[in-house]
Amino acid sequence: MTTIPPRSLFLAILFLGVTGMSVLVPSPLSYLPFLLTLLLGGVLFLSRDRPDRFFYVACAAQPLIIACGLANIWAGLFAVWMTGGMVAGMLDRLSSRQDLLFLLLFFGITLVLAGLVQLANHVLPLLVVLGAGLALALVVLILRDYQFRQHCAGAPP
Amino acid sequence: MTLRQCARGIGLLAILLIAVAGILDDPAVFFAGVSLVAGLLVCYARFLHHVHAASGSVVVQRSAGRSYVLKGATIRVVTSITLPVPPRMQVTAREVLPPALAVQDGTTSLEIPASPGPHSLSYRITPVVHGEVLFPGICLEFRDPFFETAIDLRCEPCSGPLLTVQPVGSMVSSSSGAGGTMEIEKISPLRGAGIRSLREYYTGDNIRNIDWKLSAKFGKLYIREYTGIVNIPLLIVIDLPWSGLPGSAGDLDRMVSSVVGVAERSVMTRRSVSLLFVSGPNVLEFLAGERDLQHCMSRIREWMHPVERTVHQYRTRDRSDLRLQVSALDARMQENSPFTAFYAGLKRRYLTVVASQKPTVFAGQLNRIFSGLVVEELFLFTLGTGDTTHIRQIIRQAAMLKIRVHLRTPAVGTDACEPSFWGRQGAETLEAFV
Repeated sequence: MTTIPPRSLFLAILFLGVTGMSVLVPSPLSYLPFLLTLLLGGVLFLSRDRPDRFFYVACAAQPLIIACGLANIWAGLFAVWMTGGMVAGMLDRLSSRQDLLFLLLFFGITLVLAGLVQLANHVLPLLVVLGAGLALALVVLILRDYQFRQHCAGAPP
Repeated sequence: MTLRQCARGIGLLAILLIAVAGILDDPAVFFAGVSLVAGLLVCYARFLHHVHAASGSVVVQRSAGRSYVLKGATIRVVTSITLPVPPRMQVTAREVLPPALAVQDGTTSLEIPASPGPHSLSYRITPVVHGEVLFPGICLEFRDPFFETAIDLRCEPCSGPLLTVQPVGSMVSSSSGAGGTMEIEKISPLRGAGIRSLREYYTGDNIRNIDWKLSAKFGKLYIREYTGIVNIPLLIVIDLPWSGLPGSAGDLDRMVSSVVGVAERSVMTRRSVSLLFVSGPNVLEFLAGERDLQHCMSRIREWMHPVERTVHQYRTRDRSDLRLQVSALDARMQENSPFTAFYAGLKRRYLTVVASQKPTVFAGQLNRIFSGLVVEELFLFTLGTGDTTHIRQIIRQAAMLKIRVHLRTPAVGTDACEPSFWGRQGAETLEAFV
């Protein structure tokens, strides 16, 4: 039995979502996300033999995310999730439970980010708050890594 | 932790989007940028999670051929590594060796395959410094499309065993006599144990040398004439570095002091020393049986600096090497391999080269120098920089005349001393400059 690869599944859902958005929220620029989804599909098809395919897809998805985000930030979040799913599928990171948990973590973080963007009116305060949050997360990860390296180097617990 | 090309590209794109969002004050562009950063952050967390899980469950078992070993001797070490390779990641295990150990041959790093089961590293090492040497552990290098990192595992289960390296004397004793001496069929101030000839007694001869048995048989007094003993001088070959190559001044200074020490000791204990200055395949000067320590030191001071080489050899294969290759090809061709036709072509090419290749001028010069000397030990000092073809030629020429070669090099681990340099050289002992 032929199974649909995750990247194609996520692309199909993205295509349906963007089409629905174009129909439900009519605007002079509603055709733009539709066209950008076709562009993303084209990049996905043309880069099918390349080992770094996920990188091209991630880059090609950014105009679509921006276009959807200009219409509605939640539409932008939907595009981010679908792109994340496509990239995870191309990197074969949907096969284990842990990989799914990390994908859910990504979905959760971007959900919080979308909520903050919805609440804020300007970029600068968001940049400060998210920069501090990113620095904090990095400090936690780096500290954990440092402690693990010390443990591996034979330091007493 | 190092960002790989994909992570750098995505990070650059994110910074670009966030900068544009800051200029335009557009939340949608900003959201696209920070979602990329969030993706990278999750990838980093996943990478660290897998690295820690794999490093925490690695099992290393290392066994050395002997626990007690003489400095300069060679022992085999086998390291068995059991490691669950995380999905979609590449892991390389690399043996971490202290600078006191020089790798002779074998593999010290291994790309761990995804298949379960222990994977082995096998190599031979030569201790170049005496004392207790502990194998510190291994280094695991993890890579995925976004990140790469290396973790040193030096804790208890990965380190060991302890190797006790016993020192050896700075002069290796000669096999033909004590302290580098040999008996000759001539009269000398020092008397050997062998009898050179028998003659009639003359007034003044030492009566302790009378052969009483022979005298009783012939009715006349006969005297034993014993063989003489001479000290065999050392031959010190100094391979001066090429001025066209960048080198370490510290290594050269240590080589000078080491050469001076060996030469001085040889003059003091063996009354003479032979010095051969070469630089690559260029013989610069030869001092045979030099007894004057001052003159010896002045020549060393004059020569010990990087020199210009008029002749270079770049990986010139010797005829004996090529013959060995031909023998190896013959063995492979008998295995009924699918590459038999290729091996046959390669063998023809080697035989053509062997037939047309003539001995080098340097080999002829070495042969003349070594043949004209009574020498059993040769100390070869080199920095090991650049091409080492001439080192192999010196060692081979010495081995043909049964001269034992003691290779002296800078401390292992410096730029000048890659482990591959020490392999396949064939010297009897290998030590670092002290």
